[in-house]
Amino acid sequence: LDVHSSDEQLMLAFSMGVVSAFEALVQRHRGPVFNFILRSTGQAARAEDLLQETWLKVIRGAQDYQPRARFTTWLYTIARNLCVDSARKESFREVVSLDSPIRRDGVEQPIAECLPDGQPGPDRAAHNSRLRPLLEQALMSLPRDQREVFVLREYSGVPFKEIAAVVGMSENTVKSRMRYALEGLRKRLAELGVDGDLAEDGRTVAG
Amino acid sequence: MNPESKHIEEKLLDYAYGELGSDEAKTVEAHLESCPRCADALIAMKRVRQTMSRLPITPAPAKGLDSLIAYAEQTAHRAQLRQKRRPAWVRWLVPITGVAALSVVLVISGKVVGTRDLPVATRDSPAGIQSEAPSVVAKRPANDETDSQKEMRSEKKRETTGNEWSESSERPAKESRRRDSKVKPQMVNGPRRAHLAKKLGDVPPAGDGDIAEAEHGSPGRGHGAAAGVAANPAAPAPDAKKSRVASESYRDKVMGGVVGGVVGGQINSSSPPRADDREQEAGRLRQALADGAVGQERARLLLRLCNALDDLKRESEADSVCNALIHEFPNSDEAEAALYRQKARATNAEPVQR
Repeated sequence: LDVHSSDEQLMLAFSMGVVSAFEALVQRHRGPVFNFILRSTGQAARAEDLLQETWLKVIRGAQDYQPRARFTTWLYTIARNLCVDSARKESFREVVSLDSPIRRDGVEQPIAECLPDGQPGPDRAAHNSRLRPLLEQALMSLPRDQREVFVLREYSGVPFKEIAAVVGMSENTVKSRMRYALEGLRKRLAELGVDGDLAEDGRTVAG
Repeated sequence: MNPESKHIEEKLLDYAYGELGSDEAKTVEAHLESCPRCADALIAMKRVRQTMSRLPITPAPAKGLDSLIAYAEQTAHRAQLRQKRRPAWVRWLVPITGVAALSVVLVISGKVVGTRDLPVATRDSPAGIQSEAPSVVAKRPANDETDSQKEMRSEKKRETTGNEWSESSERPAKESRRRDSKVKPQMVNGPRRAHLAKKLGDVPPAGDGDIAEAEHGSPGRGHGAAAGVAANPAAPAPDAKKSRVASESYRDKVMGGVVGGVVGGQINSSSPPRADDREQEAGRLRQALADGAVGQERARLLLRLCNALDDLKRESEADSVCNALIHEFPNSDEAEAALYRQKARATNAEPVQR
C-alpha cells in the first residue's frame, strides 16, 4: 500500500470504485475518529454506533465527493454532527458515564475490560489504571464545546484551522476554547490530585 | 504587559502544537528566553498535555468493520453505474439490449400468466395491465417496479443500519432525487403489494426473483432485466412520469445487470458479487470499448473493466487494462485511481485486516 497517497486521492479512487482505497482510509482514520467520538460523547456503546454511522455516511457521500476541503475536515464534520445530534436526542435521557457497563454482544461488561490498556510494565499499568479514571473525569468535566476542540487537536491531531471548519467557528474562537480547555484541565487535574512529576507547581497562566 | 508579550502570548498555543512556521517559531523562542511569564504559560500548557496524553487511545471496535467494507464494495459497483452523462453509444446499446431483454420478458411473463392463475391481481390493478394495457408498455414499468422494490429493500436496510442523510446539507441533490423517485412508488404500491401477496397466498412476493429463477432457470439473486420483470406480473400500470423514471432505471439495469443483484443483496452479507454477473459486466464493458467510446467515457469504462477483472481474479488482464488507461489518459482522475490500484497490488498489501 502506498503510504504517500493522500486521503483525498484515496477518497477519489474510492469514488471511482477502488474499494481498497476505502479500506486504506478506514485503516488510517477509524481509530482516531472513534476516539474523538468516544471522548466527545463519553459513552462507549453510543460511540460504536456513531462510528459506524459516520463511515456509512462517508460511503454514501463518496459518489459526490469533491476534494475541495481536506478529507479529514469532512470526516470529522460528519462525526461531530452525529455527536451533536445524538447529544441532543440524549439530553432528556439519563447520561451514562464511562464507568457504567456497556453492552457488547449482548453481555454486560465493565468498560475497563473492553478497553485494553496499551501501556507496558506492571508498575506503569498499575499507575495508569489509577490515573485513567481521573483523566477521564477531568476531560468530561470540560464543557462540550471546549472538550471537542481539545480532543480534535490533542488526540486526533487536527490543526486549529481545520477544527474551525469542523465546528463552524472562527479559528480565533477555536483557539480561545482550546486555551479555556487547557486551563480548565489544569485546574481540574490539580483538584483531583493528579500529582507527582505531572503536578501543577502553583504557577498559573494568568500570573 | 508589553505589546510584544501580548502578541507572543497569542502565538503560544500554535507554538505548543507546532503550527507555526519556522520564522515565527524562532521569534517565539527568542521571546521566551527573556519573558518568564510566557515561558511559564508554555510550561503549564505542556504539563497539561503531557498528563492528558497518558489517557490511552482506545482501539476502535472490530464490530461493524466487515459489514462496512461489504457495503463499500456494493456502493462502489453501484457508483460506477450512476454516471450522470450517457454517451452516444449508450443510446443504441440500450434499445438493442432492451429488445433482447423484452423478448425474454414476454416469454417469461407469458409463462407466468399461463401457469399461475392471477385473476385477483388483474382485478386489483387499477389499469388492469394484464388484460388491457398494451403489453410492451406494461412490461417495461413492471421491470422497474421490481427494480425499485429491490432498491427499496436496500434502502430499508440502510435505514436500520444508519440514519441516512439526516443532515440535509450532506445529502446530495441527486441522491435526493433518486430517493424520491423510489419512495413514491413504494407508497403507492407497498401496501397494495403486501395486500396482494396475502390474497394470492401462493404467489411469492415480487422482487425476490423466485419466479424468474424457477421459470428462467437462472440461479442466484435476480440479475439483469429478465429476472426482475417476471417476478411481478401484478404491477399497476404507471403514469407517464413513473414511466420515465422506469425507463431511466431500466437503462441502469441494462447497463449493468449485476447492479440489481448487488443492490438487492444484504448489506451485512459478506458474499462478493456473483462471478457470472461480473463476467457479463466485463463483456459489456469490452463491447462498449470496442464500439468506440472515446474521451472520458473510455477512461471510465477502462477503469470499470479493470475493477471487474479484479473481482474476477483475472489480475493480469486487469493490469493490462489499467496500464492502457494510465497510458491513454495520463492525467485523468481515472488514471489516478488505476495508478493507486497498481501500487496497492505491487506491494500486495491487505490494507485492512478482515
